[in-house]
Amino acid sequence: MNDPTENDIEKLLRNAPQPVPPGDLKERLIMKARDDERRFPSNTQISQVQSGWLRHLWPVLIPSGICLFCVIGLSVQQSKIQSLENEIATLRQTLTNELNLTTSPVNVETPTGLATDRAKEIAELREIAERLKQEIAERQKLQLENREIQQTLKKRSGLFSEEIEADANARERAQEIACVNNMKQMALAVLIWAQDNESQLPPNVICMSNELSTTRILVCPGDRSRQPAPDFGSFSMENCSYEWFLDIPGSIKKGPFSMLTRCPIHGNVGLVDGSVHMRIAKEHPEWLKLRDGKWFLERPATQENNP
Amino acid sequence: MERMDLDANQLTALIRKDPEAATIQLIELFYERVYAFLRRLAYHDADAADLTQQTFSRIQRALASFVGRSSVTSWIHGIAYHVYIDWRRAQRPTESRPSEWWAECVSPCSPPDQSTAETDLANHLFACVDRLPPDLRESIHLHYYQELTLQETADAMDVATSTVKYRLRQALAELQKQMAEQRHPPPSARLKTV
Repeated sequence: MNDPTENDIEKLLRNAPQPVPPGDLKERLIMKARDDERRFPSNTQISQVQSGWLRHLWPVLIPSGICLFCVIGLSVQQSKIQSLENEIATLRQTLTNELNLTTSPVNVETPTGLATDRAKEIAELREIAERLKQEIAERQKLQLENREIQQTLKKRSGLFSEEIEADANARERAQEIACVNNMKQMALAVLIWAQDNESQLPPNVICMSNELSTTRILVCPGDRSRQPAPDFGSFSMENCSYEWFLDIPGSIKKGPFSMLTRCPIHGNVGLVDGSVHMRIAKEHPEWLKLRDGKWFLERPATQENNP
Repeated sequence: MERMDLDANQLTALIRKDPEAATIQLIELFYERVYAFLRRLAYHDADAADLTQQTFSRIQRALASFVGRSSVTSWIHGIAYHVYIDWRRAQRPTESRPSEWWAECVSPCSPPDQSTAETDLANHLFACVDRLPPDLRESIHLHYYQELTLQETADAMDVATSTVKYRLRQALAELQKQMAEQRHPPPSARLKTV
């Protein structure tokens, strides 16, 4: 006999023998049903009534319940919004009153949360401004006194006013030339460093300590606020008057007009090729152009022919 | 088995009119099928009778909730199935049914000229059904033994029709495999028996 197929199995399953119930089972079941019906007579009726009522009304009850819920939610939110608006209005009113009391000339409309902080800040800034004004006035007064004293001293030295003016101009010119000289030496130091380091710009000033002869050349003669460092061991950028443009590493060959140093006092500009141009930054700041993060000196065509 | 189904509308009308009469009519129509279903799933006559009684008690209590969404047959089988599930969880029966049990049941459909080999094959198949996992076994019981449609089986078991189809296909494949193994045991099994 072959293995049974799926159809054979289905046929056999459909013809499975039927267990026969005990003879008295039907009577027992009927008796129990009657007994239960006597014990709980109203159970079926009540639930039937309830289920009938619900069955008919549920399509109306559910949407109306949802609508009612939405309406309640909306009204609660509306009342909350109203109360918050009232609160904001009262806060705004109190803030404006306070501002009027403390800083009468200023009438600033600010958001409620930041109002007090801003008022404080404004008051502090006003104090600072007052203090600065007083300091400026004191300085102007000191300058005037200083000039008067200088004039009296010069009178005592026996020089005429033209001579005094010429002397001052000459001194200023000498300082400017000394500044150019410093910048030349610095440019030379950079070129020497680059020669020893595959034409690369030095990363900072300290690493050129061998190439720079002394720390004194790093201070402009016109800069009274800085003192030269005693040596390179104690040197910091506080002991340097000049602005260096070494922070972007690159080859020295990239462009001869790339700016290397600048004197903020005289406006002199030192380039990578070792040249120094006087007063450029002061008189022609538009010639200095920023390209790719580097400053370049770009003279107009007419000026290039007559440097 | 003779089919005497009750229409859902008829039943709801009868429930409204006279719930007691509805219960008695349901007992008269379905007690044999419910008993047979539970007798095959449980192992003893007494257990099956108890479960049948519980089923009809629950049917009586649930009459009011019958709204006719499913057929009466699947509703009653669903209740019987859940009664059996509750009983199985409470009892955790470990006893396995002997293969001879099926031979004691007299099949009204079996022709008189059925050979002994065919009877043995059928008894072996029924024993294989009993060894199936619960979900597959109960699907076979409802669909084949109780002759419910796929939809009615799905309603009774509270699953989708596609799930019933899948379970039946899996069960038939498993039965076919078991039958083939029985007739042609693997070499390792043969060695063990030697």
